[in-house]
Amino acid sequence: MILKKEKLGSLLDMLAGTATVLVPTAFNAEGGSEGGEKATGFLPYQAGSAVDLGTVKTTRSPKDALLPQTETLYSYEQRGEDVTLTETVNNTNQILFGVRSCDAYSIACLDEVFLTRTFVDTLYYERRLGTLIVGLGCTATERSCFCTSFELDPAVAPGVDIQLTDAGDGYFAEALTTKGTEALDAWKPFLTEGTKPTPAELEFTFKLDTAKLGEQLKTMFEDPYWQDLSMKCLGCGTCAFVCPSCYCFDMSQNNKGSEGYRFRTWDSCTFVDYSMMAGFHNPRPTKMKRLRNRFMHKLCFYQERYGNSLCCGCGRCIELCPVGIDISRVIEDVERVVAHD
Amino acid sequence: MSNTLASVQETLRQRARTLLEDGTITYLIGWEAGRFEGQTTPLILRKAADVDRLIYNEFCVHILAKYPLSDKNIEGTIGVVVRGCDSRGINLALKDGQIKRDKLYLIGIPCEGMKDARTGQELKKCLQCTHRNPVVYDELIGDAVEDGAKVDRFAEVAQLESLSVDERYDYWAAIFSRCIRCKACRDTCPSCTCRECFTDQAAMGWQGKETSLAENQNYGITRMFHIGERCIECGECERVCPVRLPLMQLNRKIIKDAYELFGEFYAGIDDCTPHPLDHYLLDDVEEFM
Repeated sequence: MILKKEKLGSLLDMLAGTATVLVPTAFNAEGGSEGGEKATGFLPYQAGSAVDLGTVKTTRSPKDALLPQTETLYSYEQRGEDVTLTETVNNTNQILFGVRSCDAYSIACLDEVFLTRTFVDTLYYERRLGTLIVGLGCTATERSCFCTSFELDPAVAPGVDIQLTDAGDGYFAEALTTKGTEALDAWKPFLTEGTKPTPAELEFTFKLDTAKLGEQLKTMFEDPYWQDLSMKCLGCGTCAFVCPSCYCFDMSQNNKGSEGYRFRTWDSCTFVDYSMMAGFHNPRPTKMKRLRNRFMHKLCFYQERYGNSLCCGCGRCIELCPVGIDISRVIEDVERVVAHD
Repeated sequence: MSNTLASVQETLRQRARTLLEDGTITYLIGWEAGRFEGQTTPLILRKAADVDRLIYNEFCVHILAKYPLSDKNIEGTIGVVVRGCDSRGINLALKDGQIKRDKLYLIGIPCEGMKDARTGQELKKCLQCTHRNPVVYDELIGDAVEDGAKVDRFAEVAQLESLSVDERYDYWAAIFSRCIRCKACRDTCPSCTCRECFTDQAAMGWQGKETSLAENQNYGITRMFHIGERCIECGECERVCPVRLPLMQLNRKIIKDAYELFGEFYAGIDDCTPHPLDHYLLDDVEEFM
């Protein structure tokens, strides 16, 4: 079935009446500090929103929808001898609309972390259960896109409920899960008959061989390579915060008198206080150890535990790292460093 | 001698080779090419044999002034390529006692402004730059260029000052609601050299970790006041911001106020002149006392 592009607005209007629809939108339509440079993210759709399905990768990934940067875990209140604890319950009902393969793959990585291997993170589970994901096949690439290096298919987003494929003046919509099939029923008034187009042949600026990456990295933990790479790292959290699959969080509380709440926030392994322990011992006291951990976790440790890479090849960190640290070049360097040893 | 970028790059490579070979410097901090056209990244050059990795072109957007501070106890000497902005950052570090001058060997390059590789336009921070020639160096490559900002660097502040208090609050609230607290602005800032930043003193609780408007504003405003008139106006905070917040407008407001109260002042143009707010004079303005 085909969703004509002219019907997209009406469909989103209808969907917005049933759920929160998060859709790629420019959040500074006037352009940024350098003028004209837009930053984009998945914002709640409202009638008249400047929907931007053309941007290949949004500045902010859809990660926020499932793992908000700040999320209250529970609140507490003490009155005399009585203590009341109030758990947070997420009654999520949202549609993530226009998710690309890289971001969908990343959500699958988050699912592994928060939902499998003995522990189910309740807050994540509630959000995930209440989320319908509508994927969108890519018809173009940006210079830093390299999802195919991790065997992703830019035309089909893994794990999504409904997949959209660009068909010129419309999108071919197909359900890939039971949840998607049910949801697509409600779309019917906006759909017309049509056949699935052949996905566009995409050109990528580069493709990397990542088959042996995890094994190779294990052999170069002590290599001086990390020292010079980390010298130019600022130690900021841009890479982790724009990354669709980085999931580390920290927990703190805001306390006022006898009441307060405990919350979690995104954290970044490049921050000094990330690995700070009680008593102020820091097992990763240097920038080198912190940056090395970032790449080891992305490309080796996660794979050891879950079997796949924690990098999806979206290239956001490549574009936004203030000092041009480029994970794709690190991957190439690994090959070179290991060959020289 | 002409200042074409290609000739500057060629001379820079020759000098880097010589300085590394004769042991004057242990390594050189410069730039190398990134993967994409116009993309550059800071380079730590240790071997004369790698000197061809060193580049100098119109896309060398990163300030290098802060890098030597992470190696201040080095036995040898750190070579740094410095333009006006980098050299002012170095002076600030010298004045603050962050590093000793004899640990540094500075190769100066007069700079006519860098460009955004994506748009091909000169960066805003470079259009607003007042000191294009290095203000401290051991040797200079190329002839001096004309100093002075190409645009009125206080125009945006003047425009904001014309708004009402409520309008200004709304303006900044909209901006800080977008902050993702990656702290890139702090980490790149040559004026931010505290051994431990107030934002990292979790036990003290100066700065909460929530990304809420209040916490984001607390971060932005406290940082602005901590830097105060020590800002060297390199504009890196704005360039590195992944969500494109116009952070220099805050710093410039402080600088403009400092000008009006204490006279014109440029942080980092030497390593000894006291800053307006690091000492007092008996005839200082004290309208609030």
